[in-house]
Amino acid sequence: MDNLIQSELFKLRKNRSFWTLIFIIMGLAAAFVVLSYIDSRMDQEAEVKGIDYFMNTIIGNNYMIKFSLPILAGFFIASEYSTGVMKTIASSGNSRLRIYMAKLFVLSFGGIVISLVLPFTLLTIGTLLSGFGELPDGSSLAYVLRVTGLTFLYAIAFASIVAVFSTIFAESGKTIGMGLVFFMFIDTILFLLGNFAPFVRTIDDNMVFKLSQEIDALNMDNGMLFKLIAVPVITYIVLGSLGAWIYTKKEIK
Amino acid sequence: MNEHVLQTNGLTKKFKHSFALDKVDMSIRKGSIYGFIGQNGAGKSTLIRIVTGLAFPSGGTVELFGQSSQRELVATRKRIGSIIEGPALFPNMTAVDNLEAHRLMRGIPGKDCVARTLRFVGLQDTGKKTAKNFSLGMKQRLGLAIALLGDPEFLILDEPTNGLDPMGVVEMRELLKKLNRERGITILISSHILSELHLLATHYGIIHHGQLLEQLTTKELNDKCQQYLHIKVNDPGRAATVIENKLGTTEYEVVSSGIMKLYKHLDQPGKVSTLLASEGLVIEEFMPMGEDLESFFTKRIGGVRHG
Repeated sequence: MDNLIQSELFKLRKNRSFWTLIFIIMGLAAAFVVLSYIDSRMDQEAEVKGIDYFMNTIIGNNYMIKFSLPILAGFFIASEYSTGVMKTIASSGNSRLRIYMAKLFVLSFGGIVISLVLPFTLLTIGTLLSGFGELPDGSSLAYVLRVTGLTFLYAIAFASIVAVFSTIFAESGKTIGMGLVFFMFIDTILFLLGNFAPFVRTIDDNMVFKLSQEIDALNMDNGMLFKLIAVPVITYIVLGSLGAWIYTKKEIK
Repeated sequence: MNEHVLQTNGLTKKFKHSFALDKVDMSIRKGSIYGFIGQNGAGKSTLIRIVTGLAFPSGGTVELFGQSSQRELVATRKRIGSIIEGPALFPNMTAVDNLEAHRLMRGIPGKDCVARTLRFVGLQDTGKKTAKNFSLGMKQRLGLAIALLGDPEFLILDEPTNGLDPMGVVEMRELLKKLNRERGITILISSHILSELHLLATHYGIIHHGQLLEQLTTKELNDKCQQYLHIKVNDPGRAATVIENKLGTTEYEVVSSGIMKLYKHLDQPGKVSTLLASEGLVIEEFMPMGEDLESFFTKRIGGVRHG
Protein backbone atom coordinates (compact mmCIF):
# COMPACT_ATOMS: atom_id res chain seq x y z
CA MET A 1 0.00 0.00 0.00
CA ASP A 2 3.09 2.20 0.27
CA ASN A 3 2.88 3.12 -3.40
CA LEU A 4 -0.74 4.24 -3.07
CA ILE A 5 -0.01 6.39 -0.02
CA GLN A 6 3.00 7.90 -1.78
CA SER A 7 0.86 8.70 -4.77
CA GLU A 8 -1.87 10.25 -2.61
CA LEU A 9 0.69 12.31 -0.71
CA PHE A 10 2.13 13.51 -4.00
CA LYS A 11 -1.35 14.55 -5.13
CA LEU A 12 -2.06 16.26 -1.81
CA ARG A 13 1.18 18.20 -2.12
CA LYS A 14 0.08 19.35 -5.58
CA ASN A 15 -3.51 20.06 -4.52
CA ARG A 16 -4.30 23.75 -4.76
CA SER A 17 -7.33 23.68 -2.47
CA PHE A 18 -5.19 22.17 0.30
CA TRP A 19 -2.64 24.97 0.13
CA THR A 20 -5.31 27.63 -0.36
CA LEU A 21 -7.07 26.48 2.80
CA ILE A 22 -3.81 26.50 4.75
CA PHE A 23 -2.81 29.97 3.59
CA ILE A 24 -6.27 31.45 4.16
CA ILE A 25 -6.46 30.07 7.72
CA MET A 26 -2.88 31.10 8.41
CA GLY A 27 -3.46 34.60 7.03
CA LEU A 28 -6.65 35.11 9.04
CA ALA A 29 -5.02 33.83 12.22
CA ALA A 30 -1.95 36.04 11.75
CA ALA A 31 -4.09 39.09 11.01
CA PHE A 32 -6.20 38.40 14.09
CA VAL A 33 -3.20 38.18 16.45
CA VAL A 34 -1.46 41.22 15.00
CA LEU A 35 -4.61 43.34 15.13
CA SER A 36 -5.33 42.19 18.69
CA TYR A 37 -1.77 43.02 19.67
CA ILE A 38 -1.97 46.52 18.14
CA ASP A 39 -5.36 47.05 19.79
CA SER A 40 -4.13 46.00 23.24
CA ARG A 41 -1.05 48.23 22.89
CA MET A 42 -3.14 51.23 21.88
CA ASP A 43 -5.62 50.68 24.71
CA GLN A 44 -2.78 49.86 27.09
CA GLU A 45 -4.52 46.64 28.09
CA ALA A 46 -2.81 43.44 29.18
CA GLU A 47 -1.49 41.59 26.18
CA VAL A 48 -2.98 38.21 25.31
CA LYS A 49 -0.29 35.54 25.54
CA GLY A 50 0.36 32.79 23.02
CA ILE A 51 -1.09 30.02 25.17
CA ASP A 52 -4.26 32.08 25.76
CA TYR A 53 -4.84 32.37 22.03
CA PHE A 54 -4.24 28.64 21.74
CA MET A 55 -6.71 27.75 24.51
CA ASN A 56 -9.41 30.09 23.33
CA THR A 57 -9.31 28.87 19.78
CA ILE A 58 -9.56 25.10 20.23
CA ILE A 59 -13.34 24.93 19.99
CA GLY A 60 -13.45 27.47 17.16
CA ASN A 61 -10.80 25.38 15.42
CA ASN A 62 -13.23 22.45 15.41
CA TYR A 63 -15.53 24.42 13.15
CA MET A 64 -12.58 25.36 10.97
CA ILE A 65 -11.76 21.66 10.61
CA LYS A 66 -15.39 20.70 9.95
CA PHE A 67 -15.76 23.32 7.23
CA SER A 68 -12.34 22.77 5.65
CA LEU A 69 -12.52 19.00 5.38
CA PRO A 70 -15.53 18.82 3.02
CA ILE A 71 -13.74 21.30 0.75
CA LEU A 72 -10.56 19.25 0.83
CA ALA A 73 -12.43 15.97 0.32
CA GLY A 74 -14.40 17.51 -2.54
CA PHE A 75 -11.33 18.66 -4.43
CA PHE A 76 -8.98 15.90 -3.35
CA ILE A 77 -11.15 12.78 -3.63
CA ALA A 78 -14.53 13.47 -5.25
CA SER A 79 -13.08 15.49 -8.14
CA GLU A 80 -11.25 12.34 -9.27
CA TYR A 81 -14.59 10.88 -10.30
CA SER A 82 -15.40 13.80 -12.60
CA THR A 83 -11.91 13.98 -14.14
CA GLY A 84 -12.01 10.23 -14.76
CA VAL A 85 -8.84 9.64 -12.76
CA MET A 86 -10.75 7.38 -10.38
CA LYS A 87 -11.28 4.98 -13.29
CA THR A 88 -7.54 4.76 -13.90
CA ILE A 89 -6.88 4.26 -10.20
CA ALA A 90 -9.58 1.61 -9.75
CA SER A 91 -8.34 -0.32 -12.78
CA SER A 92 -4.66 -0.04 -11.86
CA GLY A 93 -4.32 -3.49 -10.32
CA ASN A 94 -4.62 -2.31 -6.72
CA SER A 95 -7.44 -3.63 -4.56
CA ARG A 96 -10.32 -1.29 -3.90
CA LEU A 97 -9.84 -1.64 -0.15
CA ARG A 98 -6.24 -0.50 -0.34
CA ILE A 99 -7.10 2.36 -2.65
CA TYR A 100 -9.77 3.63 -0.27
CA MET A 101 -7.61 3.26 2.81
CA ALA A 102 -4.75 5.13 1.16
CA LYS A 103 -7.10 7.96 0.26
CA LEU A 104 -8.55 8.04 3.77
CA PHE A 105 -5.13 8.04 5.42
CA VAL A 106 -3.89 10.91 3.29
CA LEU A 107 -7.12 12.87 3.66
CA SER A 108 -6.76 12.36 7.43
CA PHE A 109 -3.18 13.59 7.22
CA GLY A 110 -4.44 16.65 5.33
CA GLY A 111 -7.08 17.13 8.04
CA ILE A 112 -4.42 16.92 10.74
CA VAL A 113 -2.28 19.53 9.00
CA ILE A 114 -5.27 21.86 8.60
CA SER A 115 -6.28 21.29 12.22
CA LEU A 116 -2.89 22.55 13.35
CA VAL A 117 -2.76 25.71 11.29
CA LEU A 118 -5.10 27.93 13.29
CA PRO A 119 -4.04 27.09 16.88
CA PHE A 120 -0.34 26.94 16.09
CA THR A 121 -0.30 30.11 14.02
CA LEU A 122 -2.03 31.87 16.91
CA LEU A 123 0.29 30.25 19.45
CA THR A 124 3.44 31.04 17.49
CA ILE A 125 2.67 34.64 16.54
CA GLY A 126 1.07 35.33 19.93
CA THR A 127 4.20 33.98 21.64
CA LEU A 128 6.50 36.02 19.40
CA LEU A 129 4.59 39.22 20.14
CA SER A 130 3.54 38.78 23.75
CA GLY A 131 5.25 35.70 25.13
CA PHE A 132 4.06 32.15 25.68
CA GLY A 133 2.24 32.76 28.98
CA GLU A 134 1.26 30.14 31.49
CA LEU A 135 -1.81 28.28 32.64
CA PRO A 136 -2.98 28.43 36.27
CA ASP A 137 -1.90 24.93 37.16
CA GLY A 138 1.47 25.38 35.49
CA SER A 139 1.11 22.40 33.17
CA SER A 140 1.12 24.23 29.83
CA LEU A 141 3.15 21.82 27.79
CA ALA A 142 1.13 18.81 28.90
CA TYR A 143 -2.05 20.69 28.12
CA VAL A 144 -0.86 21.71 24.66
CA LEU A 145 0.18 18.16 23.89
CA ARG A 146 -3.11 16.68 25.11
CA VAL A 147 -5.27 19.16 23.24
CA THR A 148 -3.15 18.75 20.11
CA GLY A 149 -3.45 14.98 20.29
CA LEU A 150 -7.20 15.17 20.74
CA THR A 151 -7.48 17.69 17.90
CA PHE A 152 -5.68 15.16 15.66
CA LEU A 153 -8.13 12.44 16.64
CA TYR A 154 -11.21 14.54 15.99
CA ALA A 155 -9.76 15.78 12.70
CA ILE A 156 -9.31 12.22 11.45
CA ALA A 157 -12.76 11.23 12.72
CA PHE A 158 -14.30 14.08 10.72
CA ALA A 159 -12.12 13.09 7.75
CA SER A 160 -13.58 9.58 7.84
CA ILE A 161 -17.08 11.10 7.66
CA VAL A 162 -16.38 13.34 4.66
CA ALA A 163 -14.53 10.49 2.93
CA VAL A 164 -17.79 8.52 3.02
CA PHE A 165 -19.62 11.55 1.57
CA SER A 166 -17.12 11.85 -1.26
CA THR A 167 -17.52 8.15 -2.08
CA ILE A 168 -21.30 8.30 -2.09
CA PHE A 169 -21.69 11.54 -4.03
CA ALA A 170 -18.66 11.10 -6.30
CA GLU A 171 -18.77 14.76 -7.22
CA SER A 172 -16.91 17.65 -5.64
CA GLY A 173 -19.84 20.10 -5.52
CA LYS A 174 -22.20 17.65 -3.85
CA THR A 175 -19.52 16.47 -1.43
CA ILE A 176 -18.68 20.00 -0.35
CA GLY A 177 -22.31 21.10 -0.15
CA MET A 178 -23.58 18.06 1.72
CA GLY A 179 -20.53 18.01 3.99
CA LEU A 180 -20.97 21.64 4.99
CA VAL A 181 -24.71 21.26 5.53
CA PHE A 182 -24.16 18.09 7.54
CA PHE A 183 -21.61 19.63 9.90
CA MET A 184 -23.61 22.84 10.15
CA PHE A 185 -26.83 21.19 11.27
CA ILE A 186 -25.94 17.84 12.82
CA ASP A 187 -25.49 19.31 16.33
CA THR A 188 -28.83 21.13 16.17
CA ILE A 189 -30.67 18.13 14.74
CA LEU A 190 -29.32 15.76 17.38
CA PHE A 191 -30.10 18.30 20.11
CA LEU A 192 -33.68 18.75 18.93
CA LEU A 193 -34.24 15.02 18.52
CA GLY A 194 -32.76 14.49 21.97
CA ASN A 195 -35.56 16.59 23.45
CA PHE A 196 -38.10 14.06 22.20
CA ALA A 197 -36.16 10.82 22.50
CA PRO A 198 -33.80 10.42 25.48
CA PHE A 199 -31.77 7.71 23.75
CA VAL A 200 -30.84 10.20 21.02
CA ARG A 201 -29.55 12.51 23.75
CA THR A 202 -27.42 9.66 25.08
CA ILE A 203 -26.10 8.94 21.58
CA ASP A 204 -25.43 12.63 20.99
CA ASP A 205 -23.51 12.87 24.27
CA ASN A 206 -21.22 10.11 23.06
CA MET A 207 -20.62 11.18 19.49
CA VAL A 208 -17.69 13.08 18.03
CA PHE A 209 -19.81 16.13 17.26
CA LYS A 210 -20.49 16.98 20.90
CA LEU A 211 -17.35 15.54 22.43
CA SER A 212 -15.20 17.63 20.09
CA GLN A 213 -16.42 20.66 22.05
CA GLU A 214 -15.01 19.30 25.27
CA ILE A 215 -11.41 18.67 24.29
CA ASP A 216 -10.18 22.02 25.61
CA ALA A 217 -11.10 21.33 29.26
CA LEU A 218 -8.25 22.26 31.57
CA ASN A 219 -8.93 19.49 34.03
CA MET A 220 -10.18 16.14 32.98
CA ASP A 221 -10.38 12.78 34.76
CA ASN A 222 -9.07 9.58 33.20
CA GLY A 223 -12.54 8.33 32.35
CA MET A 224 -13.33 11.43 30.37
CA LEU A 225 -9.94 11.37 28.66
CA PHE A 226 -10.49 7.73 27.70
CA LYS A 227 -13.91 8.59 26.27
CA LEU A 228 -12.49 11.56 24.35
CA ILE A 229 -9.87 9.27 22.82
CA ALA A 230 -12.01 6.16 22.25
CA VAL A 231 -14.96 7.81 20.50
CA PRO A 232 -13.05 9.39 17.59
CA VAL A 233 -10.96 6.24 17.19
CA ILE A 234 -14.09 4.08 17.02
CA THR A 235 -15.71 6.60 14.67
CA TYR A 236 -12.65 6.43 12.42
CA ILE A 237 -12.68 2.64 12.33
CA VAL A 238 -16.44 2.34 11.77
CA LEU A 239 -16.74 5.11 9.17
CA GLY A 240 -13.49 4.02 7.52
CA SER A 241 -14.85 0.47 7.20
CA LEU A 242 -18.21 1.75 5.95
CA GLY A 243 -16.55 3.97 3.33
CA ALA A 244 -14.29 1.13 2.21
CA TRP A 245 -17.27 -1.21 1.92
CA ILE A 246 -19.21 1.32 -0.17
CA TYR A 247 -16.18 1.91 -2.38
CA THR A 248 -15.58 -1.80 -3.00
CA LYS A 249 -19.22 -2.21 -4.05
CA LYS A 250 -19.38 0.94 -6.12
CA GLU A 251 -19.48 0.90 -9.90
CA ILE A 252 -17.24 3.69 -11.06
CA LYS A 253 -18.66 5.72 -13.90
CA MET B 1 0.52 -21.38 -22.82
CA ASN B 2 -2.68 -19.39 -23.11
CA GLU B 3 -2.76 -17.54 -26.40
CA HIS B 4 -5.63 -15.35 -25.33
CA VAL B 5 -5.17 -12.14 -23.42
CA LEU B 6 -8.86 -11.75 -22.73
CA GLN B 7 -11.70 -14.22 -22.74
CA THR B 8 -15.22 -13.68 -21.51
CA ASN B 9 -17.64 -16.53 -21.06
CA GLY B 10 -21.36 -15.82 -20.93
CA LEU B 11 -20.62 -12.33 -19.64
CA THR B 12 -23.89 -10.69 -18.68
CA LYS B 13 -24.76 -7.33 -17.23
CA LYS B 14 -28.37 -6.80 -16.34
CA PHE B 15 -29.95 -3.55 -15.33
CA LYS B 16 -33.48 -3.37 -13.97
CA HIS B 17 -35.36 -4.08 -17.15
CA SER B 18 -32.70 -4.59 -19.78
CA PHE B 19 -29.47 -6.35 -20.58
CA ALA B 20 -26.43 -4.18 -21.23
CA LEU B 21 -24.52 -7.39 -22.00
CA ASP B 22 -26.18 -10.67 -22.83
CA LYS B 23 -24.02 -13.79 -22.56
CA VAL B 24 -21.02 -12.33 -24.35
CA ASP B 25 -18.27 -14.79 -25.32
CA MET B 26 -15.37 -12.70 -26.49
CA SER B 27 -11.79 -13.70 -27.02
CA ILE B 28 -8.82 -11.57 -27.90
CA ARG B 29 -5.64 -13.25 -29.08
CA LYS B 30 -2.25 -12.14 -27.91
CA GLY B 31 -0.63 -9.65 -30.30
CA SER B 32 -3.84 -8.70 -32.07
CA ILE B 33 -5.50 -5.33 -32.50
CA TYR B 34 -9.14 -5.99 -31.75
CA GLY B 35 -11.58 -3.45 -33.17
CA PHE B 36 -14.69 -3.38 -31.02
CA ILE B 37 -17.64 -2.08 -33.00
CA GLY B 38 -21.10 -1.13 -31.86
CA GLN B 39 -23.58 1.70 -31.74
CA ASN B 40 -23.90 3.98 -28.73
CA GLY B 41 -25.41 1.95 -25.92
CA ALA B 42 -24.60 -1.37 -27.61
CA GLY B 43 -22.56 -2.49 -24.60
CA LYS B 44 -18.96 -1.68 -25.62
CA SER B 45 -18.19 0.55 -22.66
CA THR B 46 -20.00 -1.76 -20.24
CA LEU B 47 -17.82 -4.67 -21.32
CA ILE B 48 -14.67 -2.57 -21.11
CA ARG B 49 -15.68 -1.31 -17.65
CA ILE B 50 -16.22 -4.86 -16.42
CA VAL B 51 -12.89 -6.05 -17.84
CA THR B 52 -11.07 -3.16 -16.16
CA GLY B 53 -12.84 -3.75 -12.85
CA LEU B 54 -14.93 -0.58 -12.79
CA ALA B 55 -18.24 -2.44 -13.00
CA PHE B 56 -19.34 -5.87 -11.89
CA PRO B 57 -20.99 -8.53 -14.06
CA SER B 58 -24.41 -9.97 -13.27
CA GLY B 59 -23.26 -13.31 -14.68
CA GLY B 60 -20.49 -15.03 -16.61
CA THR B 61 -16.75 -14.81 -16.19
CA VAL B 62 -13.82 -12.71 -17.30
CA GLU B 63 -10.44 -14.29 -17.88
CA LEU B 64 -7.38 -12.06 -18.22
CA PHE B 65 -4.08 -13.67 -19.13
CA GLY B 66 -5.62 -16.99 -18.11
CA GLN B 67 -6.63 -15.76 -14.64
CA SER B 68 -10.25 -15.58 -13.57
CA SER B 69 -10.54 -15.44 -9.77
CA GLN B 70 -11.32 -12.03 -8.31
CA ARG B 71 -8.01 -11.73 -6.49
CA GLU B 72 -6.01 -12.78 -9.56
CA LEU B 73 -7.98 -10.46 -11.81
CA VAL B 74 -7.13 -7.46 -9.63
CA ALA B 75 -3.43 -8.32 -9.73
CA THR B 76 -3.54 -9.07 -13.46
CA ARG B 77 -4.86 -5.60 -14.20
CA LYS B 78 -1.36 -4.30 -13.45
CA ARG B 79 -0.51 -5.68 -16.91
CA ILE B 80 -3.20 -3.54 -18.53
CA GLY B 81 -3.18 0.09 -19.59
CA SER B 82 -6.42 1.81 -20.42
CA ILE B 83 -8.17 4.93 -21.60
CA ILE B 84 -11.85 4.67 -20.79
CA GLU B 85 -14.24 7.28 -22.16
CA GLY B 86 -11.54 9.92 -22.53
CA PRO B 87 -8.13 10.55 -20.99
CA ALA B 88 -8.07 10.68 -17.17
CA LEU B 89 -5.85 13.58 -16.19
CA PHE B 90 -5.19 15.81 -13.22
CA PRO B 91 -6.05 19.13 -14.86
CA ASN B 92 -3.89 21.28 -12.59
CA MET B 93 -0.78 19.17 -12.98
CA THR B 94 1.88 19.25 -15.70
CA ALA B 95 2.41 16.26 -17.98
CA VAL B 96 5.37 15.16 -15.86
CA ASP B 97 3.41 15.43 -12.60
CA ASN B 98 0.46 13.56 -14.12
CA LEU B 99 2.73 10.69 -15.02
CA GLU B 100 4.57 10.84 -11.72
CA ALA B 101 1.29 10.52 -9.76
CA HIS B 102 0.36 7.47 -11.82
CA ARG B 103 3.87 6.02 -11.61
CA LEU B 104 3.77 6.19 -7.82
CA MET B 105 0.26 4.72 -7.75
CA ARG B 106 1.32 1.75 -9.86
CA GLY B 107 4.48 1.29 -7.84
CA ILE B 108 6.75 1.52 -10.87
CA PRO B 109 10.35 1.92 -9.72
CA GLY B 110 12.60 4.60 -11.24
CA LYS B 111 11.57 8.00 -12.48
CA ASP B 112 13.18 7.59 -15.89
CA CYS B 113 10.11 5.89 -17.32
CA VAL B 114 8.23 9.21 -17.05
CA ALA B 115 10.55 11.07 -19.43
CA ARG B 116 10.83 8.02 -21.71
CA THR B 117 7.06 7.66 -22.03
CA LEU B 118 6.53 11.37 -22.61
CA ARG B 119 9.15 11.25 -25.36
CA PHE B 120 7.39 8.30 -26.95
CA VAL B 121 4.10 10.20 -27.25
CA GLY B 122 5.83 13.44 -28.22
CA LEU B 123 5.02 15.45 -25.09
CA GLN B 124 8.53 15.88 -23.75
CA ASP B 125 8.57 19.65 -24.25
CA THR B 126 5.38 20.73 -22.49
CA GLY B 127 7.28 22.19 -19.52
CA LYS B 128 5.14 23.86 -16.86
CA LYS B 129 2.00 23.89 -18.96
CA THR B 130 -0.81 22.22 -17.02
CA ALA B 131 -2.99 19.53 -18.56
CA LYS B 132 -6.09 21.71 -18.55
CA ASN B 133 -4.34 24.00 -21.05
CA PHE B 134 -3.47 21.14 -23.42
CA SER B 135 -5.18 20.75 -26.77
CA LEU B 136 -7.50 17.76 -27.12
CA GLY B 137 -4.86 15.90 -29.12
CA MET B 138 -2.25 16.53 -26.43
CA LYS B 139 -4.68 15.36 -23.76
CA GLN B 140 -5.30 12.14 -25.68
CA ARG B 141 -1.57 11.58 -26.04
CA LEU B 142 -1.04 12.24 -22.34
CA GLY B 143 -3.85 9.78 -21.60
CA LEU B 144 -2.05 7.24 -23.78
CA ALA B 145 1.23 7.97 -22.00
CA ILE B 146 -0.46 7.24 -18.66
CA ALA B 147 -1.86 4.01 -20.09
CA LEU B 148 1.61 3.05 -21.33
CA LEU B 149 3.37 3.56 -18.00
CA GLY B 150 4.75 0.31 -16.71
CA ASP B 151 4.91 -1.23 -20.18
CA PRO B 152 1.49 -2.91 -20.25
CA GLU B 153 0.96 -6.05 -22.33
CA PHE B 154 -2.65 -5.20 -23.08
CA LEU B 155 -4.04 -1.77 -23.97
CA ILE B 156 -7.74 -1.05 -23.69
CA LEU B 157 -8.76 2.09 -25.51
CA ASP B 158 -12.34 3.26 -25.49
CA GLU B 159 -12.84 5.86 -28.21
CA PRO B 160 -9.23 7.10 -28.15
CA THR B 161 -9.71 9.25 -31.25
CA ASN B 162 -12.73 11.14 -29.92
CA GLY B 163 -12.44 14.81 -30.78
CA LEU B 164 -9.13 14.48 -32.59
CA ASP B 165 -8.55 16.35 -35.84
CA PRO B 166 -7.68 14.30 -38.94
CA MET B 167 -3.94 14.62 -38.34
CA GLY B 168 -4.43 13.61 -34.73
CA VAL B 169 -6.35 10.53 -35.82
CA VAL B 170 -3.54 9.52 -38.18
CA GLU B 171 -0.91 10.15 -35.49
CA MET B 172 -2.82 8.04 -32.99
CA ARG B 173 -3.20 5.23 -35.53
CA GLU B 174 0.52 5.22 -36.30
CA LEU B 175 1.35 5.30 -32.60
CA LEU B 176 -0.86 2.30 -31.90
CA LYS B 177 0.51 0.37 -34.87
CA LYS B 178 4.02 1.06 -33.63
CA LEU B 179 3.14 -0.18 -30.13
CA ASN B 180 1.65 -3.34 -31.54
CA ARG B 181 4.50 -3.95 -33.95
CA GLU B 182 7.49 -3.00 -31.81
CA ARG B 183 6.35 -3.94 -28.34
CA GLY B 184 3.89 -6.68 -29.21
CA ILE B 185 1.15 -4.99 -27.18
CA THR B 186 -2.30 -6.45 -27.65
CA ILE B 187 -4.87 -3.70 -28.19
CA LEU B 188 -8.61 -3.60 -27.69
CA ILE B 189 -9.94 -0.47 -29.32
CA SER B 190 -13.47 0.78 -29.69
CA SER B 191 -14.20 3.55 -32.13
CA HIS B 192 -17.03 5.08 -34.06
CA ILE B 193 -14.75 5.88 -36.95
CA LEU B 194 -15.04 2.54 -38.70
CA SER B 195 -12.95 3.52 -41.70
CA GLU B 196 -10.16 4.35 -39.28
CA LEU B 197 -10.61 1.10 -37.43
CA HIS B 198 -10.44 -0.76 -40.72
CA LEU B 199 -6.93 0.61 -41.26
CA LEU B 200 -5.77 -0.52 -37.84
CA ALA B 201 -7.48 -3.64 -36.56
CA THR B 202 -6.49 -7.23 -37.20
CA HIS B 203 -9.60 -8.66 -35.57
CA TYR B 204 -13.13 -7.36 -35.10
CA GLY B 205 -16.00 -7.90 -32.71
CA ILE B 206 -19.45 -6.58 -33.48
CA ILE B 207 -21.75 -5.94 -30.56
CA HIS B 208 -25.40 -4.97 -30.80
CA HIS B 209 -27.97 -4.61 -28.05
CA GLY B 210 -25.59 -6.29 -25.62
CA GLN B 211 -24.99 -9.34 -27.82
CA LEU B 212 -21.72 -10.10 -29.53
CA LEU B 213 -22.98 -10.81 -33.03
CA GLU B 214 -19.72 -11.79 -34.63
CA GLN B 215 -15.96 -11.98 -34.20
CA LEU B 216 -13.78 -12.16 -37.27
CA THR B 217 -10.31 -11.49 -38.60
CA THR B 218 -9.52 -8.88 -41.22
CA LYS B 219 -9.24 -11.64 -43.83
CA GLU B 220 -12.62 -13.06 -42.89
CA LEU B 221 -14.06 -9.57 -42.98
CA ASN B 222 -12.66 -8.92 -46.43
CA ASP B 223 -14.07 -12.24 -47.61
CA LYS B 224 -17.45 -11.39 -46.18
CA CYS B 225 -17.58 -7.82 -47.38
CA GLN B 226 -19.97 -8.26 -50.24
CA GLN B 227 -19.10 -7.12 -53.74
CA TYR B 228 -21.72 -5.20 -55.69
CA LEU B 229 -22.34 -3.12 -58.76
CA HIS B 230 -22.50 0.55 -57.94
CA ILE B 231 -25.08 2.09 -60.27
CA LYS B 232 -26.19 5.71 -60.43
CA VAL B 233 -29.19 6.32 -62.68
CA ASN B 234 -31.58 9.18 -63.34
CA ASP B 235 -34.64 7.19 -62.16
CA PRO B 236 -33.81 4.60 -59.49
CA GLY B 237 -37.46 3.64 -59.02
CA ARG B 238 -37.82 2.53 -62.63
CA ALA B 239 -34.38 0.93 -62.53
CA ALA B 240 -35.52 -1.13 -59.54
CA THR B 241 -38.56 -2.34 -61.48
CA VAL B 242 -36.37 -3.28 -64.44
CA ILE B 243 -33.93 -5.17 -62.22
CA GLU B 244 -36.71 -7.08 -60.50
CA ASN B 245 -38.67 -7.88 -63.68
CA LYS B 246 -35.93 -8.38 -66.22
CA LEU B 247 -33.08 -9.71 -64.06
CA GLY B 248 -35.36 -11.50 -61.63
CA THR B 249 -33.59 -10.47 -58.45
CA THR B 250 -34.42 -8.45 -55.36
CA GLU B 251 -30.80 -8.49 -54.14
CA TYR B 252 -30.28 -4.77 -54.46
CA GLU B 253 -30.71 -1.60 -52.44
CA VAL B 254 -31.21 2.06 -53.17
CA VAL B 255 -28.92 3.99 -50.85
CA SER B 256 -29.09 7.68 -51.72
CA SER B 257 -29.71 10.18 -54.50
CA GLY B 258 -30.11 7.67 -57.29
CA ILE B 259 -27.32 5.32 -56.21
CA MET B 260 -28.15 1.62 -56.23
CA LYS B 261 -26.18 -1.37 -55.06
CA LEU B 262 -26.82 -4.56 -57.02
CA TYR B 263 -25.50 -7.68 -55.33
CA LYS B 264 -26.26 -10.13 -58.16
CA HIS B 265 -25.06 -10.44 -61.77
CA LEU B 266 -21.62 -9.21 -60.76
CA ASP B 267 -20.10 -11.26 -63.56
CA GLN B 268 -22.42 -9.71 -66.14
CA PRO B 269 -21.91 -5.94 -65.86
CA GLY B 270 -22.33 -5.52 -69.61
CA LYS B 271 -25.69 -7.25 -69.58
CA VAL B 272 -26.92 -5.08 -66.71
CA SER B 273 -25.81 -1.77 -68.20
CA THR B 274 -27.19 -2.68 -71.65
CA LEU B 275 -30.50 -3.63 -70.13
CA LEU B 276 -30.82 -0.40 -68.15
CA ALA B 277 -29.84 1.69 -71.16
CA SER B 278 -32.27 -0.17 -73.41
CA GLU B 279 -35.04 0.78 -70.97
CA GLY B 280 -34.22 4.46 -71.55
CA LEU B 281 -32.44 4.99 -68.24
CA VAL B 282 -29.48 7.37 -68.13
CA ILE B 283 -26.54 5.69 -66.41
CA GLU B 284 -24.36 8.28 -64.68
CA GLU B 285 -22.08 5.94 -62.74
CA PHE B 286 -21.48 2.19 -63.13
CA MET B 287 -18.68 0.26 -61.48
CA PRO B 288 -17.99 -2.87 -59.42
CA MET B 289 -17.26 -2.10 -55.76
CA GLY B 290 -16.78 -3.88 -52.45
CA GLU B 291 -18.41 -3.15 -49.13
CA ASP B 292 -16.37 -1.43 -46.48
CA LEU B 293 -16.45 -2.12 -42.76
CA GLU B 294 -19.17 0.47 -42.28
CA SER B 295 -21.53 -1.19 -44.74
CA PHE B 296 -20.74 -4.62 -43.35
CA PHE B 297 -21.44 -3.41 -39.83
CA THR B 298 -24.68 -1.68 -40.82
CA LYS B 299 -25.90 -4.79 -42.55
CA ARG B 300 -24.76 -7.07 -39.73
CA ILE B 301 -26.74 -5.20 -37.11
CA GLY B 302 -29.82 -5.36 -39.29
CA GLY B 303 -29.60 -2.38 -41.62
CA VAL B 304 -32.22 -2.20 -44.42
CA ARG B 305 -31.29 -4.13 -47.50
CA HIS B 306 -33.99 -3.02 -49.92
CA GLY B 307 -34.57 0.50 -51.02
